[in-house]
Amino acid sequence: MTKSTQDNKPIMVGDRTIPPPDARFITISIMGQPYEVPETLTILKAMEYAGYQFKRGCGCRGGICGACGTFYRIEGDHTLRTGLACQTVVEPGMILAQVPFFPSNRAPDLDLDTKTPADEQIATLYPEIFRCVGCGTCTRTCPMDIDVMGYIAYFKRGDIKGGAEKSFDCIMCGLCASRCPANISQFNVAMTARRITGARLTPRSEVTAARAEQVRSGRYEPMLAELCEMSAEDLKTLYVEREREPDLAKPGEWMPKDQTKL
Amino acid sequence: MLINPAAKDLKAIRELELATGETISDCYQCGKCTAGCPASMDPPPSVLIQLLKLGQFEMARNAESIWSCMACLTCSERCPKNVSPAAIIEGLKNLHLRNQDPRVCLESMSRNFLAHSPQMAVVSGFRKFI
Amino acid sequence: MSEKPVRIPYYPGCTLKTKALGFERSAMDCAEVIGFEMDELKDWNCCGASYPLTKDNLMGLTAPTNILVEAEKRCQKEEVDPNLITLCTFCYNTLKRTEYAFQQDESKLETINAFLDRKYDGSIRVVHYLEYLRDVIGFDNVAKMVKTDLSKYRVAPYYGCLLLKPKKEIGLDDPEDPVILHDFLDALGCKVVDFPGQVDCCGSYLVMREPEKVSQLSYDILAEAAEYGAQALVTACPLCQSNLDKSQSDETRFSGLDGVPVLYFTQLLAIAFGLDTENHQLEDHFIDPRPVFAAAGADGESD
Repeated sequence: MTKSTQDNKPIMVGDRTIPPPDARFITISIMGQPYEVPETLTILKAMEYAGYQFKRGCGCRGGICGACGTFYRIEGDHTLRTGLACQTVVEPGMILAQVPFFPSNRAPDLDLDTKTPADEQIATLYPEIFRCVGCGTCTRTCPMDIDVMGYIAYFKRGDIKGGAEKSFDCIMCGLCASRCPANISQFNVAMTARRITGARLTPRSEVTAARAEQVRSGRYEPMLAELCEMSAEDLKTLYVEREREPDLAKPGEWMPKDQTKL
Repeated sequence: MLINPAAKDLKAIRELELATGETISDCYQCGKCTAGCPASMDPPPSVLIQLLKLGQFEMARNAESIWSCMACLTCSERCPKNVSPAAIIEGLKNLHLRNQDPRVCLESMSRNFLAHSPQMAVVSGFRKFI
Repeated sequence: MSEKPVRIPYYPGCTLKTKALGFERSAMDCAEVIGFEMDELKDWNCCGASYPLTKDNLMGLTAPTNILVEAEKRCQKEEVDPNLITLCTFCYNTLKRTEYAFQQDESKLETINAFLDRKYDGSIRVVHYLEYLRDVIGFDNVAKMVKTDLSKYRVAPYYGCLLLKPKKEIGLDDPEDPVILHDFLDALGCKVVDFPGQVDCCGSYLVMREPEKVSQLSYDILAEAAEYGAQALVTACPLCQSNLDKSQSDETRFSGLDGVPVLYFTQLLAIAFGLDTENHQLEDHFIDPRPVFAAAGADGESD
């Protein structure tokens, strides 16, 4: 099924991918149609190579934004696999479809000033978490390898902060929700929990508050004005010659020589 | 009541037996299940089983009383013929639930109940009613 | 007991982490006195609360299997006896019945293992805290550790359903005529009030759809217990506790009845051991048990 040369293949130009001259070609199936694509490409680039243009389902191209969640199978294997199209390299016999968006339940009007305990707030906003049967499909689906079932279990037992931390790497692709037999929109529950955790369950940093107050007081305005007046060349010099904290300095021990700007 | 049950009802009852693992014809209507049932079901467990024995599948399936069973297992424990009425009742409930016919609605459920009940009540309620 | 305490893997369940925190805390404090340590599983999920009654519903077994796998991994790693201790009766019932289902039918275990893509060998034995006190520690030994004189208190054991049924699968005690909580209360030195409603259902999850019925069932149980002279009830089930206790907020129905406190059996055990009960959330019960047991030092002031 593969070709060793690409003599009769057109080379894509512009923002399209230019495959390496000796790239092997493999056959994959995109939404039911077979395409021959260079084996070195990610799913996203392979789809573009095959002629798709993305208006949705493509964001940062760096594995962070969660816009390009993809389901695929390998021919002859019953297992349903998932990946981010921008991170997963194509394999021979891949049968794939992207799921750029999945309908999900998102509780409206999150009140972050409420006195309601966080666990009760989650329980009333997303009662469907109590329908979780513990099948673990979400965990197996997650392209970020998050223990999705695990964080839902934390929410069920009222540990909102624990679940928020466990879900921290979530990029909101929504693939978990697409597979849940209990109709839970896990990623939205987790986002709500992280917002509650940030706003209500995490101690406020006094140092940050003090610094913000310094900034608000206008103390740094003259220094900024001074910088704004400088030429680009002078700015570059200032940047290159700036005093730097040594990489291995112990926290809190290093101080700059010029302390007038602190 | 039909005296000759329809073939489709007999088939449905056979399927219910397979799903629950119970043999409905074993019941000899002693009534111990009904006597011990704390849920004051009407029709009570023994009558539901008699309906099934007579092939009256729809009457049993649509009996409102199946939703009052709290799975306390008193009936199943006391049955001298090793039939589990609780399992049969759950089998009947499942026929509704698997057909997108839930008995509670998440969206209109009391927020007070959700916030203040033990999680075990919410979880098992959802298992039995949705 | 001076030797190193035995560590037993412990599954708490969701309710014991929030609404029944006093149950867990009192149980842990008492375990320390008795000489064992409940070692909570690191990763655990909700057990599903109700075991599926129909044979065609294997999905209900996935959640408890996940828990049993975690427990098995822990026991194999630490080379301890493959036991898992529980407190909540719903969790106990679900896990115990799952254990039994796998013993009876290995193909079920294979199906679930294949589905979950995990490997559970079926080695874990699920044990209830009460069972551990009775069979491993011995109620007679528990009796020797009692520091507070409870002999003037009339306490009724309330078993509910899932601690005992189905007998064939749970096998903790006779579901019609149980004695384990009686013997436990005996060991504590209370006057045990044996009343017929001790195994009647409180209404369980029906509180979601028919709270009125639950309230009536709770009234029947509590009124009967009071008639037999009980000053308080002890139970092992957070849902029984919640149903029986909270139902008493219905003043019309309960107008003829003085408030009957419903405690977890470990909360009374802590009082009997003379422990500091300040963390045991006795005050969280709708009917505060502290006035009843004040003379036994349950008012939060240690003697």
